[in-house]
Amino acid sequence: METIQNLLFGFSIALQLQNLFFCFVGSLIGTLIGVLPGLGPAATMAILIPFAAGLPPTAAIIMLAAIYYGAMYGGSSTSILLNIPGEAASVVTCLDGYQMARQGRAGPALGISAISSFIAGTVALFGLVFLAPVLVDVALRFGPPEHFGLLVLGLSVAVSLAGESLPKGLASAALGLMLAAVGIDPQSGLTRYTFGVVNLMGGFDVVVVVVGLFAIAEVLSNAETPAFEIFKGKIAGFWPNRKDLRDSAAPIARGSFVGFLLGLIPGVVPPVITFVSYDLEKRCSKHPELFGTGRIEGVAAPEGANNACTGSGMIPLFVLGLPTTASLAVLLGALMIHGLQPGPMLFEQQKEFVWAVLASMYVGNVMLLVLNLPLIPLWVSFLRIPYPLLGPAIIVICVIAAYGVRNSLFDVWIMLGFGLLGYAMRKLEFPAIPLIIALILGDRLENALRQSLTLSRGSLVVFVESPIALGFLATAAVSIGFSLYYRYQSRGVSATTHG
Amino acid sequence: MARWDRIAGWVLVGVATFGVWGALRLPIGRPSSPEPGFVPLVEAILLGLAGSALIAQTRKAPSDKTVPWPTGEARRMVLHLAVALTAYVFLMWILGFVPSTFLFVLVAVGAWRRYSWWVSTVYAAGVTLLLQLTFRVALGMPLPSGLLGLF
Repeated sequence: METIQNLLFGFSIALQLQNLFFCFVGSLIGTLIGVLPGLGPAATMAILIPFAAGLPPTAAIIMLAAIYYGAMYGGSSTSILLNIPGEAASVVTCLDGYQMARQGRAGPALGISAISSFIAGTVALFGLVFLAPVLVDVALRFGPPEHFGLLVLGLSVAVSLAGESLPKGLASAALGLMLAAVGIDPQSGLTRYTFGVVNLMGGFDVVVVVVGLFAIAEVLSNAETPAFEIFKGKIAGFWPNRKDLRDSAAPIARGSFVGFLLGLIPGVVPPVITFVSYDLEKRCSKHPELFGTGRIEGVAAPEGANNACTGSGMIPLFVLGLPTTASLAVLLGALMIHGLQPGPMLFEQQKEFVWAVLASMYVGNVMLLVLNLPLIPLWVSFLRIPYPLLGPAIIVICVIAAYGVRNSLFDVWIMLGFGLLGYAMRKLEFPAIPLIIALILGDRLENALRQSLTLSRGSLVVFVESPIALGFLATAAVSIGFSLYYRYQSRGVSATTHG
Repeated sequence: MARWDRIAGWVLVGVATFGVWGALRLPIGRPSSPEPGFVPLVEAILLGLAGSALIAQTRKAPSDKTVPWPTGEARRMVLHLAVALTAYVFLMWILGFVPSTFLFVLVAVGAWRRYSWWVSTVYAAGVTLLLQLTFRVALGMPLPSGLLGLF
């Protein structure tokens, strides 16, 4: 009952004119970012953080969250029309969506994608609203050992699921942790790894690092590829027919369920979730051999999954302060910039803010359903902007964003450095997500560890005495163990196949 | 890929060594009362272990994949943009936002060799003006004026 009251209160704030406006702006920008290949939601959110710093916290976070789930809506448009995913999470939509477009059914594909996203987003929101308060009660009992265990679990899962090489994932996370240590130690006030450079005393800002690692690296990568052919066909008849709706109902339900559950787990990124959903749909189908030839189920399920996970990902973020994706890591950074510390106390001390953001996600879903279908010709027209013109403009906006963090050209140099590092990491298959998550969580991890050791007078038994902390650490170990086993098995199969 | 993974592994071990050195310059404390250098020391050791594991992996089970470094025209494009971006940031320190942005966009668009100098110039001027008006004027964001304080 209290949950319903809180939700209604949240709607009363979310529906205020200013918040509605910024939800709309965020949804629009998010959709556009999703449509345009090259600049993902994480980098866009990072770029906009300095601009959003002047807004009230509720409006700023509503806008940034809308960019995140808006990008999921937008990414499917280019997958269907161009066979080029606007977002990594929309890769799997290319498989059947593009085939539907080639068969003259781009409209129904786009339509079912939007409908599936809306339904899944709604389901995720209700799951979030009822599950979050339960988790808050549990999280309120956490002390430093439990926090440490949880953060280690979050990082471990991100490491074990990111990329093919475990050492590379571990290196990425360890590097992120070391970068987080640069600056002033909050407990003693001593400077670490600054070597007298004043600009390093504030540490590495997450906005600067994300913009470099994702946006600049992406532009450099895109510079290698030739321009793509723009879809020239006519798009008409967005509304799926009765058979399409009937065929899509169960896939949407399964996709929403899979997306919601997997979205709760740190490190299980939307691209993985959409593939799992597509694979599940194929296994449930009476005609799996037809997947990839233009089956509407192959669009409905993954699109539902990818939107459901954006909603459920908010649960560990708000309740535990644990981001499950790079975009949510950036959102966490934005919360902290606005003086809001995610965790169970946020639900206690900033109830209005939390429920307003959760309610705004539903409002945003309605806006996106309305925006996506009629405005598709507009989104397609943006795709006609040649990349040679778009790329340099993106770089300049990134430079402005990096400078805007602390009005310092030093940050722009840092962004450039991380851009080149990000490009090299892509080539060498080092995952960037563990680095970002570790950078954001590094300070909290260190505080939790130091407090735990201080409380236990240096004894590691403190992590074993707490069943919750032990459970988290054991799960982290199992996650790494499974990852090692799976990789060992894959290598064994590959060796056998290739003699 | 194996050769590059080995190089990357050694770079990581190098960074880890630097990290250990940096941590040892700080008070480490004891496990019962860890001080500022304690956790960075652990993190640097972890990085070193990851780098070593990568090196060991390349020896035990070398990957037959190749690193997709760009070649030919693609390499020229990437280098052109990277150098232009580096020069942009440097020039911004001297000239400020407006002239450096104009020059960067002009040179960056030119990297694709798709447009005439005239089109590139008009586009560069237009983008610079639009961004100046949007961010400096409309949003009131401070942008670098450079050592010369031109704009």
